[in-house]
Amino acid sequence: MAWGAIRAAVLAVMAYGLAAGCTTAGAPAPAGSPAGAPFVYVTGKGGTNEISQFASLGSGALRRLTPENVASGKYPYGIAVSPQGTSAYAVNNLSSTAGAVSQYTLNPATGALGARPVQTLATGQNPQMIAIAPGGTSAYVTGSSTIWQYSINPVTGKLTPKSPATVATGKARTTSRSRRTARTST
Amino acid sequence: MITVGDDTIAQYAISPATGALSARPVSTARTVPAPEAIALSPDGRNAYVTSEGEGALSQFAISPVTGKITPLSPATVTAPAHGSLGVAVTP
Repeated sequence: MAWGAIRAAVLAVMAYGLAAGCTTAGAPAPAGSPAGAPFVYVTGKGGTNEISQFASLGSGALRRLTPENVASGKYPYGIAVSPQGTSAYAVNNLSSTAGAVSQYTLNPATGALGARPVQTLATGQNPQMIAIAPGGTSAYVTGSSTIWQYSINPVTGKLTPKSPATVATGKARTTSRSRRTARTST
Repeated sequence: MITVGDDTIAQYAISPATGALSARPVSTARTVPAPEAIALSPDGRNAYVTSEGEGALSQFAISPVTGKITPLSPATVTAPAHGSLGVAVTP
């Protein structure tokens, strides 16, 4: 834990240094965020089937990109960005019996997602969240009793199911009530 | 560590020696109703919270020294009208 905290602090300093360096260089910020500032993506609820995209300003305050939204798969839920910052992945929680995961290209200069997914792979029932390993070579999608696992192509960002494609999570189940009660980020 | 629940975002201190969390939040702030997910900026200085009930996101500054959470100005930004679920930030 202590090492993790130290590492996170070092990474935070590095990220800040890069952003500050770009600002000092005096290059005018392009259409998106101030140089080096992150972009933010949000999945819409209620079957509107869209992902909203934002640029962050110097204070961290968000403003919507143009276009404000891109079309997503059905009932997008979890979303993650690759560590390289060139692909985004959204889980389509289509129904209680079927779902999918979609990959979008991400323009690191403007923050814009591709207008439509470059790839959509069927999962199984009720996929919800997605996490990408820090090295960017693996992705994991969680459902109510299954984890779908994928390798990520380092060049194209495309997903390929690993062997085996799924791992059972056992009987311990995350209910939607407990998911809504607390979310944690370190 | 930062959590969301009960329309509140909360900061807990982590003991560098043991990893244990503080018994109570060190700071809290109001979020959008029905907070659903949270993401931090890569430098750890901002947090974003989605609402599954309302068409807005909450945005916060996090002090790099104390970790204290403070709403940004404006405190919310418009998001998908029927609410939003997941949130992700570029590295």
